[in-house]
Amino acid sequence: MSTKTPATLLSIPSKKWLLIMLLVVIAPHVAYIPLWLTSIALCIIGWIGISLFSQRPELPVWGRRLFVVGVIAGVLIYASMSQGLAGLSSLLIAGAILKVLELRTRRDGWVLILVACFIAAVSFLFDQSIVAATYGGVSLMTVFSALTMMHHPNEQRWFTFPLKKSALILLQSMPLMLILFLIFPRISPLWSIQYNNSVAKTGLSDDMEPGNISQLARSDSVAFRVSFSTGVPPASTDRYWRAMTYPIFDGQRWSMAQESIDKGINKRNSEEGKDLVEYQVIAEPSANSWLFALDYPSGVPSREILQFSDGTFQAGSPIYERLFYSAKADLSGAYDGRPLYDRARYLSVPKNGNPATRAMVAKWAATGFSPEQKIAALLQRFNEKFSYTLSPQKLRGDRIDQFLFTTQEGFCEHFSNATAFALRLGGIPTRVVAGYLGGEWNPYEKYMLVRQYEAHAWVEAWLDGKGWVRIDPTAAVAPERVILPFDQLFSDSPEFMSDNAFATYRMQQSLPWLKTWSLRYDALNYNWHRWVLGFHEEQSGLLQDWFGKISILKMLLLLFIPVGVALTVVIWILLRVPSHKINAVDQEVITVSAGLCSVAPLLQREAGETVTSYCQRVARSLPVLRSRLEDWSELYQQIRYVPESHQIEQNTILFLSCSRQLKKDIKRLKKQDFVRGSID
Amino acid sequence: MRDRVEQLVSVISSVVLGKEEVVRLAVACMLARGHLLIEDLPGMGKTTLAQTLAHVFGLDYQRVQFTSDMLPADILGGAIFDQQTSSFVYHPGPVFTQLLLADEINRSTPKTQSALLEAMEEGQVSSEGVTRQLPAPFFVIATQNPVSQFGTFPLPESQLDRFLMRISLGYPDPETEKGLLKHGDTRRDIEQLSVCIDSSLLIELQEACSQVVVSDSVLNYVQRLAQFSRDSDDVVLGLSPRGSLALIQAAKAWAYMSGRDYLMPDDVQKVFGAVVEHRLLLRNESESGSARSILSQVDVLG
Repeated sequence: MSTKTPATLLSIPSKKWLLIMLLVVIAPHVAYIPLWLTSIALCIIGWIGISLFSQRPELPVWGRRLFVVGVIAGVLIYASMSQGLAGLSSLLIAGAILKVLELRTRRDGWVLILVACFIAAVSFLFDQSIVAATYGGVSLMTVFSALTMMHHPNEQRWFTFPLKKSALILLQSMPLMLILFLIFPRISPLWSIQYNNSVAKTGLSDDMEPGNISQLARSDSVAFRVSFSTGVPPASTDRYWRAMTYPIFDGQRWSMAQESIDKGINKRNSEEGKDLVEYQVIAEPSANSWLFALDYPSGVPSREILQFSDGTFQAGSPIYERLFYSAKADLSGAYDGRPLYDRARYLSVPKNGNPATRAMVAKWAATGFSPEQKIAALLQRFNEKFSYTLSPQKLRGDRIDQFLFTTQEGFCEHFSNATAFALRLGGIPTRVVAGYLGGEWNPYEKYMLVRQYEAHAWVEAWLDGKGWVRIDPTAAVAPERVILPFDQLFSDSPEFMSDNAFATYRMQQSLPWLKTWSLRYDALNYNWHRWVLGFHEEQSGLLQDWFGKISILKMLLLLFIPVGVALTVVIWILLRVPSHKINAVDQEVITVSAGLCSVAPLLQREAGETVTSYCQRVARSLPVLRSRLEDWSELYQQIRYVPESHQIEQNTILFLSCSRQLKKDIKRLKKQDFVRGSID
Repeated sequence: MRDRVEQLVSVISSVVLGKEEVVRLAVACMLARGHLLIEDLPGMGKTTLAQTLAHVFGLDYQRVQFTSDMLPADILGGAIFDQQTSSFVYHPGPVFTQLLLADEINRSTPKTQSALLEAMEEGQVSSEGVTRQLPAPFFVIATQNPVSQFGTFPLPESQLDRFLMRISLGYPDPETEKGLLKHGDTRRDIEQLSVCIDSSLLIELQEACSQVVVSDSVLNYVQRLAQFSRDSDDVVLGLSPRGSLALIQAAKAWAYMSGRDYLMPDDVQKVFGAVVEHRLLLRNESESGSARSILSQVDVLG
C-alpha cells in the first residue's frame, strides 16, 4: 500500500463535484443503457453522496468484488444481445459507476474525469442535435468544475467557485474552438460502426408490392430538407421527388434494375440553362444509398453523388450521417431527344394472370386508341369510379383485376401498379417511380421539410417524341393529395389520426402557436445541420476561396504552419523565462564566454563554474588576458557579491568598460588563428 | 584574528600531513558552530585529526570510544544511589564537556547514537526529568567507519543531518606517506602542540563568521542548488531547508577564512560536498546526483 497523505486524498467538495459530473454526463445515455444499469448508477451515486455527509459503513472488499463482477457480467450479457454501440457505451458507463465505489485518492478522481470526458463524447454518437451540443457544453462545464475542485481542495465556495472558473475556461477556449471548426479538415472516419438508433425508418424500399408504402407512410420522421436557390418553393404540383425507379415487374412485385451511370445530363444542362431550379438537400441518415431528385433532374454538381440514366441519384455508400448535396431540376421535363434503350424491359409483363385487365386493354386496342388516349381512358376510369384510402381491403389472387374491377380503392401504390401494368399491356413502355410528393415549406428559414409519410409512387410512360412522361394516377383519383399537404389531407381520416406518430401533429392543429414554434424549432435545427454539422461542404468552398485549389499538401501546411508557429512561440517563451531574470552584469559574462568560445570551444564557461574560477582558467590558457581578466572578475565580484556597496554604480561603469576592452581583445585573438592550435 | 586562524590551520597541518583542504574544512566547521563527522577507513588518521582539533582549539575535551554494548547513560551520565545521603545523585557523563570526541560512532547501537541527538541539537541534556545545560561552545567531533564495514550501525538520517559537515581524509599522497613513514607516528606530538586560541576567542571568531554578508545573487544560487537536488531524478531525498541553511553557514566560515567579509559562490562550492553529501539520499551510488554533478549542472549566474 502506498502512503495516503492528505494531499493525495480527495476532498469532500471535489467528491461532490465528481458525483455531479457523473450524473450530468450519464444522463443523456439513460435512453440507450438498460434500465437496471440506470438504477444501479443512481443507487451508487446516491449512496456515496449520502456517505459524504454522514459516515456510512463501507461495502466490504469481497462484497465490492462480487458486485463488480455481477455488474460487468450483466453489461457483457446485455452488450452481446444488443446491437451497435449501446452495449459498448453501457460498459463504459458501468466502469465509471463502479469506480465511484473506490473514490478515495486524487488519482481515482483523475481516472473518473477522463472517463467522463469520454462518456460525454460518446453521447454525440447517438445524438448530434443542437440540444445535444448545448448539453455537451454543460457536461464539459461539470467536468471542468470537478477538475477545478480537485486543485482547490480547501476552497470554501465549493459550488460557485468552480462553476465560475469552468465557465471562464470554456469562454477562453471558444476562439480556439472556432478556429478549429473553421480550418480543421473533416477527415472521413477510418472505420465506422453501424448504429441503428440514428437511422430513420425509411418510407421507401427497394421493391414495391402494394401494401408496403401504407405501412411506412405513417412515420413522421424527416426524410430530408431542401432549400432552393431562388428562395421560392416550386408549385405544389411540381414537388415530385424521385428516389428510385422500378422497371422490372414479375406479376406481384415491382423492383429495381441495374441502371447505368448517366454522364450526359450535366452536358445537356449547360446547353439549355433556362427554367432550371437549383436546390440544396440535406438528407437524413437512412442506411440506404439512394437520394432524392426533384423531377426531372438535370445534373448534380457534387462529384460524390452518382447520377443514373433513370434520373435517380445515389450516394457512393449507405448514408449513416447527414448528407449535403445540391442539384438542378428542369420542372418542364422537356424531352432531350435521346432514344429509349431496352424497350423490351419496360414492356415485359407475365404471360398469364389478370384476365379482366387484359380484356380491357384488348378492347382499347380494338377501338384503335392512341397511347395518349389509352392513358386518358384509364385515368378517366380512375377519376369516375375509384376512391383514395390509406386502409384498402386486402387483395388476393389476380390482384390487379381485383383492384380495378372489385375493390376500386387504394392509395398511390395500387394505382401506380395497375396503371403501369395496363399501359405495358397496351404496348406503352412504362416504369414505376418511387419517391416523395410534397413537403412542408418553412417560411422562417425558407426551406422545405419532407417527411417519411409523404412517400409516394407514380408512373412514367414513354411516349415516342415526348420521352418519359410523368403520369400520376393518384392525382386523377384524388387531386387534393397533390395540392394539399399530406397531413391536412388526412386530418379527418381516423386511421391517420389514431396513429401515434401524429400525436404531435394533432396537438399542433389545436394549438396554432405550437405549430409556429415547431416550425421555428425545425428552422433552427435546419440551420444547425446545414451550417454546423454539414459545415465541411461550406468549408471546402471557404478554404478554396481563401487559398485556391485545395490539395493534401496545402491542407497539411494550413494545419501545421499555425500549430507549428504557436508551438514555437510557446517554446520560445518557456525557454526565455529564466533569461528574463538575467542581470545585465551576468549578461556580460555570458557574452564574453560566448566570445571566448568562438576563439576556442574549450574556453566556454561551464554552468557550474564561478566567474572567479572561470577567469583563472581562461588566464591560464590565454596569459595575454590575465591582468584584464583579473580586474574584470574582481569588479564582477564587487558588484554582484558585496551588498550595499557604495561604489556599485561606479564599479558597474568600470566593469562595462573593462568588458568592452575584453571583447575587443577577444576579437583580436580570434583573428590570430594561432590561439586555437595552442588550446585545443 | 584571521592570522590566528591561519596559524591554527598550519599547526594542525603539521600533524595531519598533506591534507590542508580537509583541515580547512574542519576548522571552518568549528567556526560555523557545527558538529563534524569524519568518515574514513580505519587507520587513515581520523582520530588524530579529531584529537588535534580538540587540542589546538584549547577546549577541554572528552573522548568516548563507542562500542556496540554501550548504553545512553554511558554518555549522558545517570543517577547513582549515594549510601551516605540515602539519595540518588546525578553523575554527569562524558558529554559534559566543550568538545566530545565520539570515536567510531557507528559501532554503537542506534539507541546510544540517538542519545547524542538532543545534546547536539539543543546543547542540553535531559535525564530523569531534569534538563542540564551543556557548556558553550559545545562540539561533537565524531569519527566513523564507512557503513559497508562489518559490525556497524549506520547513523539514522535525522542524526546525520545534525552534523554540519562530513569529511573524509583519504589516502595520503606518496610524498606525504614517505614523510610519515620517516617520522613515525605523529600522534605523540599532539600534546606538545601550542594551543592557538581559547574558547572566548573562538566565540568571537564564530561571531565574526556569522557577520559575513550574503548578497541576493548568492542566496539565489544556494536556493537553485537546493531546488535542483530536490527536482533531480537521481536524488531520492533532496536538500532540506536546514541543509541549505547549513550550507550558507559553512560557506560563511569559509569566506571568513579566505579573508573576505562577503560570501561568493566559490565559497559555497568549496564546502558544498562536505555539507551536502551526507544529507542527500541518492537513487544509486553513482556519479550522477552526487554533489559534484549537482555543482556542475546548476548555473552560477542568474
